[in-house]
Order: sequence, then C-alpha cells, then structure tokens
Amino acid sequence: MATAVMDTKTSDTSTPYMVAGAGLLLLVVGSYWGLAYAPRETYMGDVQRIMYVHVPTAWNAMLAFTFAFGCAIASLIRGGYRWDTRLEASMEVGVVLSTLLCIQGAIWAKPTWGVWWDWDPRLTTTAVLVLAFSGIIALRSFVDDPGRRAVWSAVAAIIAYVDVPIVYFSVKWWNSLHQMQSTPETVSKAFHWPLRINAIGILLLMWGLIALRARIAALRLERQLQPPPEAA
Amino acid sequence: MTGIGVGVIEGGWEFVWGAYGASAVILIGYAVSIHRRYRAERRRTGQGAR
Amino acid sequence: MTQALVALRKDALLQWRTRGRFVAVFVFGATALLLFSFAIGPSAGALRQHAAGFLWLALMLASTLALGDSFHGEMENRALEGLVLLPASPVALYYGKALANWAQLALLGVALVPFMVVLYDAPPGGALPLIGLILLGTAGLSFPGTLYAAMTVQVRGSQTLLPLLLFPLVVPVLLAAVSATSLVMTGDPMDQLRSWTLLLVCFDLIYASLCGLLFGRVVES
Repeated sequence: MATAVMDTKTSDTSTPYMVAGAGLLLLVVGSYWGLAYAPRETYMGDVQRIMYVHVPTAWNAMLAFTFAFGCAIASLIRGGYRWDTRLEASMEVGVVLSTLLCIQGAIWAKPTWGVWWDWDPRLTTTAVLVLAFSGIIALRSFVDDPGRRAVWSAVAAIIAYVDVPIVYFSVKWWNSLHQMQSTPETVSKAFHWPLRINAIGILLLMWGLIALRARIAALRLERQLQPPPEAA
Repeated sequence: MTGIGVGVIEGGWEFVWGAYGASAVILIGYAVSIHRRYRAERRRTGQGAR
Repeated sequence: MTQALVALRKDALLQWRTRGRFVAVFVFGATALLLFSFAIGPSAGALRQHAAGFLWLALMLASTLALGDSFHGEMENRALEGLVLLPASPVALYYGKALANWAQLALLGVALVPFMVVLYDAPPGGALPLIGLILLGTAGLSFPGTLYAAMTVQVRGSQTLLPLLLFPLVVPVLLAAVSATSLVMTGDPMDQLRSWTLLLVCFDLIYASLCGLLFGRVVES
C-alpha cells in the first residue's frame, strides 16, 4: 500500500542531484557571460545585466506554477498520492522562485524608476501569486488527513491558477490608467545567449529540486500512512 | 540619474551584484535546505522500517 | 435547480434567525470605515478621493467574518456530514449557501454606503449603478469565499486561513470594484466603467461555475 506513493526506487537519487548540479553549472556559466562579456546596453547601462538572471527566473517561476496546476488536475482525476507529492513540491519551489523574482524586480526597479516597486503588472501578479500559493501551503499544514489534504490543495491550486490571467489584466488596466510607462525589459537579440543558458540552468536546477522535494513529501506520507508498529 | 526614462544610467553595479547575490543566496540556500531535509527524511524512514 | 432553491431557503431562514450576527458584522464594517479615516487623517480631499477604496476594504474584511460564520451552523451539530448524506447534490448545497451569503454581503454593502457618504463626505453618485456594482463585487467575494469557508471551517486555525486564501484570489474584484465605484461616484470622463464592470461579470461567472464544480470534491473528502 505504501508503495503507491513512490513510483521510483527510493535509493535512486543520483539523477535529481546530477540534474540540479548541471543546472547550477549552467547558471554559473551564463551569469559569468552576462556579467563579464555581454556588452553594455545603450540606455540602461550595466543595470540591464540583471535581466540575464531575472528573465530566466520569471520563465521558470511561471513554469513551476503551471506544472503545479497540471499536478493538481492530475491529482483530482487520478487520485492516489503521486501527483499530490509533486503538487506540494512544485508549489514550494514556485513560491521560492517567485519570491526571488520579486526581490530581483525591486533591485532592478530602484535604479531604473527610482522606486523599489513600480507596480509593473507582471511583478505585481507574481506578488499576488506568492501570497496565494503560500496560503495553499499553509492550508496543507493545517489539514492532517492526507486524502483530504490532497483534494483540498488541488482544488485551491486550480482556483488560484485560473486567477492568474485575471489578476494580470486587472493590474495592467489599473496601472495603465495611472501611469504611462513602458517597461524596457526587452533584451536585444545580440544578448540572448547568457539568457538562454541561465534559463536552462534554472530549469534543470528546478527540475532536480522539485524531484527531491517530491520525494521528501512521499517519504513523509509513507510514514504517515503506515500503521504504527505493534508493541512487542 | 538625469531623470526617469531619460538619459543613461551610470554605474549601478551595486544593484547588479545585489540581484545576482540575492539569487545565488536564495537558490543555493534553498537547494541546501532541500538536501538536508531529504537526508533527514531518509534517516527517519530507515529507523521506522526496523 | 429546485434543490438549490430549497438550500437557499434553508440558509436564508438560518440567516434571518441569527440576524443578530448580521448586526455584529455590520458594526464591524462601520468600525473599519471609521478606523480608516483615523488612519488617513481628517483631510477632506483625501478621504473623499479614497472613499470607494475604504468601502470595499471594509466589505472585504467584514466578509471574512460573515463567510466564516456561514458554516458554523453546520459545524456545531456535525450537520455538514448529514447534509452530504442527503440525496441532494452537494452542488445545490453550494449554490444555496453561496447565494445566501451573496445576499447578506450585498445587504451589508448597501448598509455601509450611508456611513461612507457621511464619514468621507463622498457623494454616492447614481444609486442604481452603485447597487449594481455592490451586487457584482460581493458576488465575487461570496462564490469563492463560500468554497473556502466550507474547507477552513473544518480545520483548526480557520480564522486565519480563510482571509489568507481568499484575499489574494479576489484582488481583481477589489481593483475592479474600487475603480468602478470611484467612477460612479466622481464621474467617468473616459467611459471606463463598462470595462471594469465586464471584468467583474467575467470573474463572477468564472468562479461561480468553477467553485460549484469543485465543491462536491471538497465536501466529499
């Protein structure tokens, strides 16, 4: 019965570690390239180099939450706990990446716009996402029954993810009425190599981390589902 | 800075280091935390199985 | 459909019998409005400008009390499990409860308007558009809120969990309702009211259907 939770051998953890390690390596390469070798941008100067880590983080954060959405649907349709552990993992990784995204965004905004937060629709939507999924993670910690926890967090994740485009458009609208600004985040074609390398780097790192985090969830679940040992 | 959206941003390397530093700290820190938690869970499962 | 109406009648009756609680929630909302003005200061211009925002913030805060309360009756006698055992579909139960909550919140909103007008010296603009917006906005709070309330009421720490889950979700409702209400109150030179209203209608339709669909799974487990 307990084996329904884990679909891979518990001992085989070399893959996620290797994948994550490869990801970190790529990140080092890509960041070094972006910091040392990519030419300076005309208007934004060296501050623009933040984009080489900011844009890849943004892509992967959204990917993590999209994967979480898929896991939630799979969890509701299939039942069992396989997809639930992946949901737990990808939500946590998504929150970590999105929080990082907001920090990067603030550090980028200060020299660019003079303020720490410029209500950029994408970044503001990310902030809402951090709060929404943190709330679902909190919900999980309050529910003891594993079956109920799986169903409820899947339902909540679906509801939260469907909201993402709505939040984005409402903030974009709301912001555009008060400020006329274009976000100069476009990276010209000459600079895209460090961007791609970092994007794949974070992708691999994220993949490894989600896999490991899912195994942590699975191990915990197995312990919870096992009947307590009879006193001899 | 001469003004928002006008002119060239001079310097600003401290922000660049800040962003990359924060990214490194958070990504590596989280990876280490996952590694530690995973080892702890493996240990706990090993003990319970006996 | 008839099941939903029966459920609605039950919940409306329940709310009428416990209308003391409605008064308490209303007082909470009025207090919130007062506190906001203390926070901003007695500057008439600032208060008037942000009156719509304060009204909807007060409504949002009060909604956590009202929504959290709406399942207390079921929880006290473990009636929630009893309801699910009935041949009535859980979806009908959901819509009955959500509609009753919607009515309560809308009433609360309308009741708070005179407070807003007086405290912030904010003319309410057209009565009909304002009521319409209150209906649309409170629907956006009630439909997801009823689903979350059903979850959190069965779990310890529910008082923190309900707003924690609901508030990030209803950010578009807050933005749209506040902007639209402001426009109704102060004039709409660029004809943006239609867009905000459309956003509210879309949000309400999407979440009324989605939450109804998912409610069965929530109470089954």
